[in-house]
Amino acid sequence: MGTLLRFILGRIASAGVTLLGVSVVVFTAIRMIPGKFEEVLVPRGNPEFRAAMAEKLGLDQPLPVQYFKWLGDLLQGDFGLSLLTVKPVAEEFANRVPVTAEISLLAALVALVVGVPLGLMVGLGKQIRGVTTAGRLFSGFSISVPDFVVASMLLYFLTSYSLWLTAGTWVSFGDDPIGHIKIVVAPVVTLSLFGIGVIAATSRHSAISVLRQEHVTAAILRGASPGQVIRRHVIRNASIPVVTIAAIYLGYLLGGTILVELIYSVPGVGRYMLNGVLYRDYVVVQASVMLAATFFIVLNMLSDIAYAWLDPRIRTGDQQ
Amino acid sequence: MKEFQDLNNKTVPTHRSWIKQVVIGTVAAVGLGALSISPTYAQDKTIVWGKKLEATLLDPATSILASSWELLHVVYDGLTDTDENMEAIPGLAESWEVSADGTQYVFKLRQGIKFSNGRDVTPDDVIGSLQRMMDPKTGSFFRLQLGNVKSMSSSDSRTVTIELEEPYAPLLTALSSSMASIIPMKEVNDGSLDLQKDTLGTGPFMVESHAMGDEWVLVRNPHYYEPGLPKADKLIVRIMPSDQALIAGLRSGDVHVAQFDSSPDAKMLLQTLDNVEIVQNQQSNMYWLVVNAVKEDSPFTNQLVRQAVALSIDRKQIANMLGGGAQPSTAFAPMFNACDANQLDIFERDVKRAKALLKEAGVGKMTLDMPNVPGAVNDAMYAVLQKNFADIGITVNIENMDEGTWVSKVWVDNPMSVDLTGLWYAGYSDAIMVPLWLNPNKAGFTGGYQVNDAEMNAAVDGLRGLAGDDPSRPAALQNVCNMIHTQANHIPLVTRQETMAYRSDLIDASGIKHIDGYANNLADVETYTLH
Repeated sequence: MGTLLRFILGRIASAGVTLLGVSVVVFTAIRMIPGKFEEVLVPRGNPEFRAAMAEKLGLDQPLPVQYFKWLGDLLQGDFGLSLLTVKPVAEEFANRVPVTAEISLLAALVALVVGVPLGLMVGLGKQIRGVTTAGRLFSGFSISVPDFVVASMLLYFLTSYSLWLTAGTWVSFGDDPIGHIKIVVAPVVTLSLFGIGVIAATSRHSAISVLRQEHVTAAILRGASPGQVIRRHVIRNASIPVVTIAAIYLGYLLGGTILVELIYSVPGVGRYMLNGVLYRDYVVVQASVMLAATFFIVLNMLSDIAYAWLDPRIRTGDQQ
Repeated sequence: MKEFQDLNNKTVPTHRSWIKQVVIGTVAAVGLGALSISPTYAQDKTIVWGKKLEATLLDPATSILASSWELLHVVYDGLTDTDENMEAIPGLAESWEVSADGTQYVFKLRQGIKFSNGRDVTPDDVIGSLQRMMDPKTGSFFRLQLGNVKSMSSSDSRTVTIELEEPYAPLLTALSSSMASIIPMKEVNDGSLDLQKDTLGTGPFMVESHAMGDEWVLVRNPHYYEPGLPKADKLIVRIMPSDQALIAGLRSGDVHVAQFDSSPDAKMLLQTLDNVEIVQNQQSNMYWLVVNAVKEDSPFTNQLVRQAVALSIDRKQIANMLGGGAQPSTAFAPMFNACDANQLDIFERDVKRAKALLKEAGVGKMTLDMPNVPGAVNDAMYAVLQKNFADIGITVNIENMDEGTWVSKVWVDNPMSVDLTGLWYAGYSDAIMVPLWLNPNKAGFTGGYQVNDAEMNAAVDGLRGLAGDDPSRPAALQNVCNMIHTQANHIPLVTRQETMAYRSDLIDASGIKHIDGYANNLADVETYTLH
């Protein structure tokens, strides 16, 4: 068995164990928050009515019984029924995952497309007066301003001026392409700003660090053109930290989308999960967290595999 | 040029392949967007209503939150409705007669009314719905508000008679509450309708789909009893918690009617928009401060301390902070004109007297925790209360928490596990209705903080037997008002003002203007016309 395959199998096994741990934690944690589902749903109802509701939904069963039933269903691909709407969570995911994925992917793309060239430009010392300084300032600004501030500012402009963009509604691309773009721009810009800053800063540091290495100097001495040096030596070697930070940024987007979906009224998974927490809809929260955890763990696994592919020392455990 | 070029036997992306991947990624992302939820707005006949909170419990009888009533009013009807002055008008009943002693109501149902599945509404549906709502097993907290019903019967296919043990002035308007909606009992009893997840009513619209926390899609009820109504084909309800998103939606025309609840800033923000009609309906809903007179270690078991806190409150300042037309209120909302504040001993802010009462109670400086569910209204109101209490030497730490935790502490823990909190009650349609909650033996849910006072309970219960034109009613109401303020357990603050707005160039929603106490915020939605 090749070292890369062994490496991948090891990562898959550890991902399975991690997901099992997540299932225990999320199942327990959501039940530790004060306010049970039936209490939040019927705040002024009498105790007998609440008890009858809990019994009907199986919430009166011992916790281990509830857990293993849920886990068993989950392993068979059944996310369960929302306690609040009594509708399959999987159906909701089918509608919402594309929304969240679209916004997250577009934000990640914007962050990469803007962040990497910006970082390389600043890091590789393109001496265009004002541009490098502006790049650094922009990068610092976008890292330090939280999403909710950016979203609030954008919403302020959208509510104060008749801009082409809009917020507070949702329409799919298939139904109205222009309308869809008008809606999507603000959430994507909000989410991507942080990514642009982080990726630009990482690319810059990484490029500077690679430029100082001996093999780059050797390539220059061999007579390689600046373009060849950057393409063949700098970008490839500087890409590992960028891959790392991009993976972390995608994980960050999972949290960021919750806020952005809430503020802009985007019907994605983040908002669904938040509503699940607010209404103590255990099934929705558990399913959403498992979905997010699976995504995050798979992403990290792919990131690890990408390192191993980019750097053979990692898959052989040779860190020298 | 090749997509990839060899470099030291490794494949590395070239500029062109990088660009290709970006393009593929963008197309994939947009493709995902194409797969996403498709509201399919038919702009010409679709009304879009933006509201801040989700409708949760769909069973009308047990639905307890105003955010749900707003939606249920659109789907269901009661025997009666209320007009713009909150007077009873025909609903499913086209007329009624009341006996001279006010204990018998004979309702005549409209001819040919149907549920949205096409089945005729029968007297059995009417009687069954009301009996179900009043059955303690159903768990409806509103059952107390229909009076002491002795019996219900029908003499033919269109007549329903309700017999009361004693007169009950609010009955006709109480029947317009969403909690007294007429539901299809046949389908409920045979199990073909689960009221927890589905709806089936006689209202102008029926639910087509729901995405939790995001959107309800309602379509015209083809069997609605008013010919030619509703005028719109579809009603989209978008759940939009943010004021700014609502305003952006109004500005762009994606939202026709926006509901801002009691947001303090809404009116000011809306004034910058063209073609937007702002509506602030007079409301009987009110904010209260409740103090814990039940928990043994609570300082508020001492009435003098309760009165001191009540006297420290500056209602005008709270009303100013909340903006939007909130008014200082006695125990009865100003619209009922049932309580003269000048006759109240404990009402106007009097710091000196409050301090004297604390001294008399033997209480020095103290520190209390007050739970708060953060939001523009609560934050503003609590900031004023915190300052008011500090003026008499009471330090209040505001503990922020989510709604579920707050519910657990205030309405599940018995006694309530906090010393004091702010909350709001719907004010309904008659002054005597909210005071019924102040009898913990009857209301139940107030038992965690409301002192069980036999004299007060008797006075409150006595209101139920008074007909609307009973000459002793004004004095009885003033007496109960005095008792509530003197007891200072439920301390009234200000009215809760709803702000609504609609795009007057896109829609005629003039029917939205009305007096309200049942969260019927989209009143007369069936008459709204898109321009």
